[in-house]
Amino acid sequence: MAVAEFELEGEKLLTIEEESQWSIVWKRFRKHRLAVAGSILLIIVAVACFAAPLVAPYDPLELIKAENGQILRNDAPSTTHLMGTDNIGRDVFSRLLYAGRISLSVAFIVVAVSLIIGVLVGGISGYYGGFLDDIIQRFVEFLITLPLLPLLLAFSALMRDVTVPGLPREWSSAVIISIILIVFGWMSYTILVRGMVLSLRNQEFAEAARALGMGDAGIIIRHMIPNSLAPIIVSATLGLGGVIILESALSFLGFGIQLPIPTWGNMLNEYQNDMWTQPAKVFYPGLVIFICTLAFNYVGDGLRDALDPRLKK
Amino acid sequence: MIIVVFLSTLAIYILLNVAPGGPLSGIRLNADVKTRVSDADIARLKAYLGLDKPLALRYTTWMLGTDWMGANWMYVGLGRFEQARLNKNGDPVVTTDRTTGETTVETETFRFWVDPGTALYNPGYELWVWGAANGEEEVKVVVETTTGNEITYETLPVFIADTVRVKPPASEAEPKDLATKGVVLSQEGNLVVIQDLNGNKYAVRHTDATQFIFPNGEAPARPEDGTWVNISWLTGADGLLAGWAGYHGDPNGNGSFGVARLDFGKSWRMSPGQPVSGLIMSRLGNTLVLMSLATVLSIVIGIPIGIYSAVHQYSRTDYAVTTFSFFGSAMPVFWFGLMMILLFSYMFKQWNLPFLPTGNVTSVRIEADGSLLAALGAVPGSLVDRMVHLIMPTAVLSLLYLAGWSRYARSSMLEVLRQDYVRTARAKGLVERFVIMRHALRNALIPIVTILVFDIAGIFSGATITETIFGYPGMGSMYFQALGTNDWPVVMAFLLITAILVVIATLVRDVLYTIVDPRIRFS
Repeated sequence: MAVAEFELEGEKLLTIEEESQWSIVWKRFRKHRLAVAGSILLIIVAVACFAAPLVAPYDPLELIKAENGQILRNDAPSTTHLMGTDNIGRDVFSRLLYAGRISLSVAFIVVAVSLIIGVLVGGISGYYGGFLDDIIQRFVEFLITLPLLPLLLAFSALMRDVTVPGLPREWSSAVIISIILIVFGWMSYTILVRGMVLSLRNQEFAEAARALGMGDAGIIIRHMIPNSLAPIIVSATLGLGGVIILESALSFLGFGIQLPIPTWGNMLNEYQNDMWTQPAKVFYPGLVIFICTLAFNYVGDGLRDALDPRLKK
Repeated sequence: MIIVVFLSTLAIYILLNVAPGGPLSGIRLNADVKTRVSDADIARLKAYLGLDKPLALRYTTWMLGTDWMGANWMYVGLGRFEQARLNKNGDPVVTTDRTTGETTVETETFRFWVDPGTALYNPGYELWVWGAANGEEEVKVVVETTTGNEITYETLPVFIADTVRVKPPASEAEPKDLATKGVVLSQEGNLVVIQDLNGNKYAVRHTDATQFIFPNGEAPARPEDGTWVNISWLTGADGLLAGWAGYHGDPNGNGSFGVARLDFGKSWRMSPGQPVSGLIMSRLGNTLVLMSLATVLSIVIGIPIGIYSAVHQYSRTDYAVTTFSFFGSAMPVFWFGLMMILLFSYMFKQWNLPFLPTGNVTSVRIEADGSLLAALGAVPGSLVDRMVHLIMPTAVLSLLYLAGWSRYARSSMLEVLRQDYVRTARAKGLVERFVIMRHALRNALIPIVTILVFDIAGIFSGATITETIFGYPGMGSMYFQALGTNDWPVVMAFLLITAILVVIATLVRDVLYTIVDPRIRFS
């Protein structure tokens, strides 16, 4: 807290200027330059992707035609087509922006839902303890021992043919991949929240809340979860990077989100065949995945330093 | 631990089979307009592959095999025995070495002896049956022919067997009170169809009261390390599996010994009809070489780097190391691999530098001029050839693992350096190097050892993405191909092996913890 000096009637007085929790966090976060750079970059990427219809120079499905009316296939990068056109004549840069929309939303949705499940299950498990806790923990431990990537691959391969009722057919794979990633992704948050709640459960403020007649649900939601927010935010930020990589790995291998929905992963898969003639097309989608994940990791690292200096390594 | 392994096999099996779509979903997806697969085709395929059976039965047969169903005794345990390979006339097959003139008798190895049920019902075995005739019944008769199995339904006289003698020695005189005798044709549940020398067929039904006399006593005394277990409570007339006993003797030849006896069944698509275990063995060696090389390299380089950067925290080297490990953890391995191929195989070729092969484990033919292989004069299949092919996948994997290892080592060392005993060691005036080597490092390695155990599990299962990108024929790329071609027996085998290895690794890690760190005690 900043100490300001005031002159009052010739005497020096020390007054403490009150600062809110979040402004302290913001101050600490600002010191981590790479984290700040990462968050700026992420904001730019996210805005560009989510505002793709406004930002993108072309429609992602439009076949670009040259002046002579021929479709421009495999055009080299130029000022009009920043990353060239692909083998059926679509603008790669525009596709990259539209793909980012899917990749980023899948990452956000997966992390958000896993977080909700994880916080609820972990909160209940840690707060009530006993038999319920034992069962939940054994189950979580069991899920964690299962090999993640092979299982994800197997499930997405199994469910390639499944359509979600009420959705256009091409969107099914995006929904199913998100569900699979959630099913295998909530455990780490559960463990985290359970640990936090266990340590908070018997502290004075929790006892006080109980003494004041607050219900269990109220204590968990009003006291336990806000108090364990710092590590949750950090691990969710790091989790975003992880989900982007996992989703694009699945899509790259052909078991993830299926075309015609473009994602960074399946763009890589699609353009892999033209790698020898058009290396740039393989380079950019991967570069975006890499940079976004890196940015999420740095932002997570910065948040860890800012939110809880004790966690700093 | 066995319970956990059992649970994980059960969970994996159920999850994969209950998931919407099921194992055959990909077949429909891959089929184009010309090869449209109808619902009837899928149903037929399911019946062929045994997928129409109840899930519990499928799991049981997947784990324990089909050979014991309908039998009252099961051989539990691993065994192996050899016997001379016999030709059609029943004589041993003898081969002669042309250069030395030595003759050798060919032997066949049976990994696992089958149960008396199968021994009893092995087609071709002679049975002597005592008991009473019990009218006639329509019975399914399966006759093995060279083109396949011929299935007919015939009305045959049925005998309820009191005593069955399996494979009576030819020297022994035939007892007079014999009800019937003959050679086994086929079996369905507890009903065996036999045929005598005149070509007459009979059906013999055995009950729980039936006595079996095997060539070596009650149950055949067969190989080492196992026991015979009476499972009539499971397969007998009132047993849990009584109604399912018909599954035994699958006419399509899909019977197996079950994964519990290391028989993973037969591949559907990758090498149709061949045992999955053979496929795995052909891939395992490559994966072991690649993964152990990458793991050893990354540990040998990564741990010292991490330790050094922790000791010199906030130095320039430390920043370089942390940046590197951040990059490594954010790097999508598929893209990294592609970029490596692009640089070392494609760009190097453009720049007239010795370029690397893009994939595979050896060259098929002598490489083009200008490649590193041609420069080294490597013969396809030679050691140099193999090593050059290993360069890129190993480099990709090692660099990624290196990032992880240096991060673990650094954080673990930082943790230790903050401890009181390190401060004490410094306070009593020890040389800094001694403090680090003797006091800090040894304790910092404790968590690292335990992470290492988990990597050993990964050494066997390989790296799916890296192996796929470099076309490296290992376990990981086998898994990818199996998924792509819907070869579910291979997928299941891979998942099972990986899951078991992880469970074993967890156990070993817990035990190692108590050994390397005496502060931890299990209550």
